[in-house]
Amino acid sequence: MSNLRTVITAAAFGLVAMQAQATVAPQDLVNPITDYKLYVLDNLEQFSSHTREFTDAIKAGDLQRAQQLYAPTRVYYERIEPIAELFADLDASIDARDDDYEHGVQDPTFTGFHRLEYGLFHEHSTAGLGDYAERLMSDVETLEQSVQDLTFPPEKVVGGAAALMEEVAATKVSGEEDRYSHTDLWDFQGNLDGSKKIFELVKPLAAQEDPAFVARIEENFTAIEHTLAHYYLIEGDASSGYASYDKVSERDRRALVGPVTVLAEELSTLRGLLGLN
Amino acid sequence: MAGAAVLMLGALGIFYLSLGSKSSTDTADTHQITIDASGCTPNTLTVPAGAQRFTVINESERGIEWEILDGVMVLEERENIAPGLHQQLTARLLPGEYQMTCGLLSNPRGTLTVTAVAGQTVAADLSARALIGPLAEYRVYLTLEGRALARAVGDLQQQIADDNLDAAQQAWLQARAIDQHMALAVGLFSDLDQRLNARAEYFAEREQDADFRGFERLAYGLFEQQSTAGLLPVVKQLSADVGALRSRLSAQGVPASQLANGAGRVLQAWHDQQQNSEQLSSRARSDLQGLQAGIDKVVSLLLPVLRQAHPLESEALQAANASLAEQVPAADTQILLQASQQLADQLASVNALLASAY
Amino acid sequence: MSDHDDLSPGCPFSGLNRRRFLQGLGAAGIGAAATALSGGALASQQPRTADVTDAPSSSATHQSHPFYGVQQQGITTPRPAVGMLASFDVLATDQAGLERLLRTLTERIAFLTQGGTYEQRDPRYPPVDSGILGPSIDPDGLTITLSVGASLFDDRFGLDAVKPRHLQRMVAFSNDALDADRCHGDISLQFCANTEGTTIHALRDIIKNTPGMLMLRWKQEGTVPVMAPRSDGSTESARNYLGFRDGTANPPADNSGLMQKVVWVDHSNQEPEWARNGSYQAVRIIRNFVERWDRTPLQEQEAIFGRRRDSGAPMHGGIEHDLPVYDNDPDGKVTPLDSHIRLANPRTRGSERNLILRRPFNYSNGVEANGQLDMGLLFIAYQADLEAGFITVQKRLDGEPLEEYIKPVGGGYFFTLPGVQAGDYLGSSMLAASQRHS
Repeated sequence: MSNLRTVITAAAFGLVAMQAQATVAPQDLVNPITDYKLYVLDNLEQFSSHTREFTDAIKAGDLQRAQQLYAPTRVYYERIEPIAELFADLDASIDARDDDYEHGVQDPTFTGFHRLEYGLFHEHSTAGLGDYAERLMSDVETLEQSVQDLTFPPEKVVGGAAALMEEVAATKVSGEEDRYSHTDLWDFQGNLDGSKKIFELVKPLAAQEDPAFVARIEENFTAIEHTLAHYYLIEGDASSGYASYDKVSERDRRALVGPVTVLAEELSTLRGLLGLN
Repeated sequence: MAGAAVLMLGALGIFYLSLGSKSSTDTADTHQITIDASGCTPNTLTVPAGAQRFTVINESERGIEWEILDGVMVLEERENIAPGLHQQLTARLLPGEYQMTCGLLSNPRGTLTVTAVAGQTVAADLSARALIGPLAEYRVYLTLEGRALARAVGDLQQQIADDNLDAAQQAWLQARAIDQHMALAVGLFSDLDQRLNARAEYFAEREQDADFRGFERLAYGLFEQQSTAGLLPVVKQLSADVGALRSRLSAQGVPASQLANGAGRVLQAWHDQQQNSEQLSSRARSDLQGLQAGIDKVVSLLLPVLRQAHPLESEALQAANASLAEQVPAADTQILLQASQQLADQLASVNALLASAY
Repeated sequence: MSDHDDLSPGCPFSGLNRRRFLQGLGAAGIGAAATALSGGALASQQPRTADVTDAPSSSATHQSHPFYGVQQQGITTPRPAVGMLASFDVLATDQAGLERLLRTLTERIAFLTQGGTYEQRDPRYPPVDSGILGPSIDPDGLTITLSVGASLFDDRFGLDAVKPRHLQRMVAFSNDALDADRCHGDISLQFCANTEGTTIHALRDIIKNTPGMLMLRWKQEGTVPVMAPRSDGSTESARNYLGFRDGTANPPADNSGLMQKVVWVDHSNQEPEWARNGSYQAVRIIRNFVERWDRTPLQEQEAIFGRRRDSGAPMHGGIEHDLPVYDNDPDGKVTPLDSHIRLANPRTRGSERNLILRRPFNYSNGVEANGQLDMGLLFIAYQADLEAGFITVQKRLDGEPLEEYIKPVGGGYFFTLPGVQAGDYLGSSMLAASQRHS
């Protein structure tokens, strides 16, 4: 953890020292934005096929399989959330939580993953979930189509790196996202992947402007991944999935909050650094 | 990465504005270039930066094209200049060294030197930022089309290997349609465009020329000679060239200045190619159909950028695009020639609008 | 425009007629009419009509308290109208990280409590400051007091050998119902200022400048009712949400000799050398059941507190600042033995050892699930000896009749670090001492 220390302090003082820069040529952003859209399309394709398996399991009444597929399916969505959120209605019907509704889980318009999560993990049943599953599948297909047709706004893409870390800071660290399944660490990793992808794509440009900034970001990403690795289901295997969020120790929770906050704060300057409005 | 830097300058080309009187560029004298069987006269030319008019005279025996190249990248071109005739084109160029193609592909290239002019400046910022999204989206389109093209050429290769003429003809049409979607991008790379799409008449020995290959060579075999004989090495080469095209596109993309210009140019080239036909061949029709689909994508990206500052022009562009889209499946030759010319003209005017918009 | 009678005596209308006239004009016409009515006499000094959303004005925004000193500010500094106690977990993982945090906090507190102008950044970046007080900030009487909890002395920072002798994790007293989410912490920051905007601005500044170093654990805001100055210059204590004066018997903060005994750690306390001029901070969030209290007969309320409600005077009469006398009331017939003030300070020989300096604020948070008000007292007290001070006093209060109306739900014990001189940082003596020990 000795790296983490350096990063954090550098961040605190870096904030005040930052100067206006805008030497990045607009054309230099074309390739990162392109590659990001290709990344999003790729994840959407995976998201769609995993959602099909997940919803099929629900419709077949296979509770155990549906429970198993819940978290691995959501990861793809969590990665591309800054883009999915541009389609507010779909985002709401796919990913809203019960406290987004006045009447909570009883609200008839409450649909999507978290409605299914409530059924699968709280009521331990697939009964009555068929319609929600159908609706989710069709929403996901609509989303995929909508994103294909979308010209990605550069400032949304670059701003997405910070937005994802804000998302982690707001709902993942507290374990509010998946309150019935406690699979928050999967979502956490998804948000982290998505943020890191954006950062990686613009890293060469950011490095031209401020190499120390790049170093701080990288070290904080590493610090988070280091802590998350404590919770792989199979030691050393990132693809094995994650332990339940209630297993996360108080010490590790703190170890996550620090770099998450630093990243949210630091990445909020990324648009400015790249000369985007 | 010197190439990338050069491309960047090319990308800025449309924003190269004169601080002096704009109209001076419109009345600039024309630079005359004569092309005969062996090359250009003069073979070296020096012009000032900014908008310049060129008159290209064809004194050779066959139809020719004339291009201005920045490295392998095509900045401007005129297709199908008939023997004994001349055509004009106006190009806005940044200071630097360029090459000119001079008739037959085997002819030596000419050199075009563009010199800086005091009082001119590059104004790039705002519109360039507005084009980031559209350019990225176009690159995504090219990437996805490139994947599809690789698959389609793979299928074509399989059918030729299996000596399955009917299926090979279908596969050729399929692959060619995708190639035409990407025509603007392919056309930017003079070397790859030549290997993929050059027609027999641009080669000294025509169909018998050893360098004649690509889609046109395969079409000659599959449709003229009704045979797959000898085509396997050609399709394998095409497959390799498609691979080269994809990596070129992924490394370089399309410069801002070429989005509208390039789309207009490929349509103009098709038009010039066909303008003397009484009746369009089915090949010419299906090429146009492919081109139209690719251009439609470009127009959909340009319209939102143009709309605010130039509502009338963007409406005209939208109308010309819609009209060609509507006509392309079935309309008469004359109607299609007219519609394609109209859309090509609209596209040719876009860069000036983008540059003056801000 | 509320007071039309201020108009010049030369006004041609009588008061009554003029009012009618103005009402007849309707709201829109009043400004114009007033101008016309006031004539030349008032035209030159006509005040601008205030807008609803104009900022309320204060003449105290420039007020500042010195930050550098032997002891920290915000303890013996007179209590302003607004207070907030924020408790944090430290995210730094070793002493070097802790030092950087303490240096950052010192630098921010020095700036915030003295005021100044923020750096302007390229607008494409997030701004350096929240901006809620504008681009340059006035101190507005702000003090920020930094204290540390017992958990800071665990195995993380190598400080275990230099822990203040009495610093400990707060243990629930018999009437407590502690909410884990509102207890303890590695560090507490007490913010006091004339207005809430100032304390909130300061908190947000500190949060923005310490990403990855501090994590907010809980906070409680509070206020003190403001009173108009009295014509004779005398003062009276503010009231709590039970309607009683709070702080009447506080030791006077301007008596530096007494403060040295009651509040500040010195050689007599057998504390680590570095802790001199520090103090123990006891924080309690004490919910008041105000609906129930308001349904309690006044005489019972007064018996529970041991004072007259309206005057604040002792039960045997006099005025607020008269000392309660129990010598002639050994059985508690006048001031019940179990009344709050008599338990808290029995005024017997030796009980002066248990004096504490209170600095409480009233809080109002919202509504409980049962529809009752969630309000009460943000109790903050300072003392040189936590055991002899708050803990002893609270033990005496255990079981008091007031408990029926109050419920402590949060808080914690902290040690307020000694003051700092320019160029140094808060806590430097503590870290230096720990390095000598290792």
